[in-house]
Amino acid sequence: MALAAHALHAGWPDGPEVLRGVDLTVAPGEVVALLGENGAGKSTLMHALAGLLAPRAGGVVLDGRPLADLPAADRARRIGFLPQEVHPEFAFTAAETVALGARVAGHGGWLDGPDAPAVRAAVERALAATDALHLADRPLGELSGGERRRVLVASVLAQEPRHLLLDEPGAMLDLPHRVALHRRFRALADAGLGVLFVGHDPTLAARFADRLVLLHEGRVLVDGPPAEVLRPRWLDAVLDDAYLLTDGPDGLPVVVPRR
Amino acid sequence: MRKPTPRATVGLAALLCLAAVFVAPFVGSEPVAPLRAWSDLLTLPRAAWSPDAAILGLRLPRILLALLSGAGLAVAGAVMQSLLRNPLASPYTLGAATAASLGAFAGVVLGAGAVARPGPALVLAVLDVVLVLAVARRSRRPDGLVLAGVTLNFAFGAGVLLLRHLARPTDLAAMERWLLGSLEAVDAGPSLALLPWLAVGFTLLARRVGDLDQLAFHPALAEARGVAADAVRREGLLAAGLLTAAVVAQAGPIGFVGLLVPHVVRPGTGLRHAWLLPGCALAGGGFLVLADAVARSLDWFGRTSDLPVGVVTALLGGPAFLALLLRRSS
Ligand SMILES: Nc1ncnc2c1ncn2[C@@H]1O[C@H](COP(=O)(O)OP(=O)(O)OP(=O)(O)O)[C@@H](O)[C@H]1O
Ligand SMILES: [Mg+2]
Repeated sequence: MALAAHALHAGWPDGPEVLRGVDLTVAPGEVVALLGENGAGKSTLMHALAGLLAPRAGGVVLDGRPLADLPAADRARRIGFLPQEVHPEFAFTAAETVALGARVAGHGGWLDGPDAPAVRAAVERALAATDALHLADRPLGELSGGERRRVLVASVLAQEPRHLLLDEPGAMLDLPHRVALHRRFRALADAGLGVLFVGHDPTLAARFADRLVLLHEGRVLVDGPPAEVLRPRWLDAVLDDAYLLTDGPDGLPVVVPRR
Repeated sequence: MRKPTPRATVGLAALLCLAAVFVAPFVGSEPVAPLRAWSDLLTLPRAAWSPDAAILGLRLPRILLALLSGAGLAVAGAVMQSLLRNPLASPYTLGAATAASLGAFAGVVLGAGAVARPGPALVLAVLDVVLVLAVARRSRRPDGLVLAGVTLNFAFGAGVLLLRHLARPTDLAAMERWLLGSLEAVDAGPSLALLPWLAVGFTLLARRVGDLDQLAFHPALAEARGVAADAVRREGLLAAGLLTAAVVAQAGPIGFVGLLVPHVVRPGTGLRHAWLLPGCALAGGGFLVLADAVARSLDWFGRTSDLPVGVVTALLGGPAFLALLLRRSS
């Protein structure tokens, strides 16, 4: 069943309205990429879809029910959310970080660390999924930017949710890891998950997402298959004159920076 | 060196605590023969006690009060640090201890008994935490929390000075020592007065240990993982304020225990509060028992002192706090 925003209006407490009537559906089995300029409202939309920001009008619906009606614990078992920025203040190791996510899926309780029998396998599986198993015992604060990002993505995967909401999961990842991560999204969707990720790379998104959604000034500009969305008609609004559009050797559109 | 496990860390803290409780009665200006003292204490009526037993009987209530106070302050500090995600937070640095002093002092001036004294202390401690959070949020600076705490500490400290000026001379004598943080107790009364408050505070926190783990990691992630972040933060800070107020009302504003003990325990237990909080309670209790034993027995220039324990913790804690600050900024 799907996660969907209907005519959603939302903003931050005491702030102006950021989202001004957003419609967006992510169905199981789908990978959807959310693109748009800085400040377009992508992260705001992710927070609203994750149930962390109450709609001012319209609503968010999960499996046909208003998200707000769902007990927080149920919501957490179904939706995994990775914020754009996560700065840990204390010395969590990578494995401890992932164990916090695994706990949501029922692997281990309050007393259990990442080495507990009930937790260990889940933690290792998630870390391996983002090629971060070798980082397990390192403090999160001492990892490189991309390494830390991979551990955080793993911690959300460890929640074993039905829907993934990932705000710039590939930021700071090198190309092989970014590609591996997006292949993983595809595989997860094939296994029945709904995946929505925010990115700033339309070329990459076109290769791994079923649909691209362009968010512009708090509204959905266009929502469709990559070949239909990556057209000057839509891209001009978001990318201005900063790009050239061409076809890649794989037949899919390629957006390159323009000098 | 292998990282110690949480289990080993809490075990070690328990051993420290036990050792402190068994050693402390026999430390002090007067030597005491342990066997004689215990056997008299346990078998004879009070009138027939040897001098050894009499001294032990005087020291035990104090040790019990130290144990409970140290546990309360250390747990309060650990919870404040986790919920505010600030390693410099503590009952002392946030001003809650001074606020509670003012409340308890006012309670004494108004004639409140030992069990009720935490009432006004709690009101002001919670008011302090609420104000610190509000000011920190509005200041929008990373160090806003500690700055707001220091500022309010001054403000409530000024209130204490004022009350001291206005108090009756009879109240004043007792309050002077208490304000330095003192564990003087002639019987189990203060400890018994402290117990119900500690029980409520610890129970509130015990229900939330899992949520504290998630919140200490990241508030938004915690919320996405089903933690009712606002409610847990409110409840946790209320519990921390309650522990602070209860301890301060009996033993005065003993500084630095709540700040430093979590820093010693956390590397061993990690941020799993089901281990961290018991570890802090044991280590904090044991530490304060030892600190008080030192305070009782130090010989200051020929004057065997009976120094208020707050002076000892401050002497140890000041430099340690400085070290923490420097490590944090590097
Ligand atoms: N935590 C917050 N509190 C208050 N306002 C916020 C917060 N996060 C974002 N905003 C505001 O909401 C608006 C939309 O920001 P948002 O973070 O959703 O943009 P975005 O599309 O994710 O941009 P980016 O590509 O830079 O991540 C901006 O005007 C921003 O100032
Ligand atoms: Mg964003």
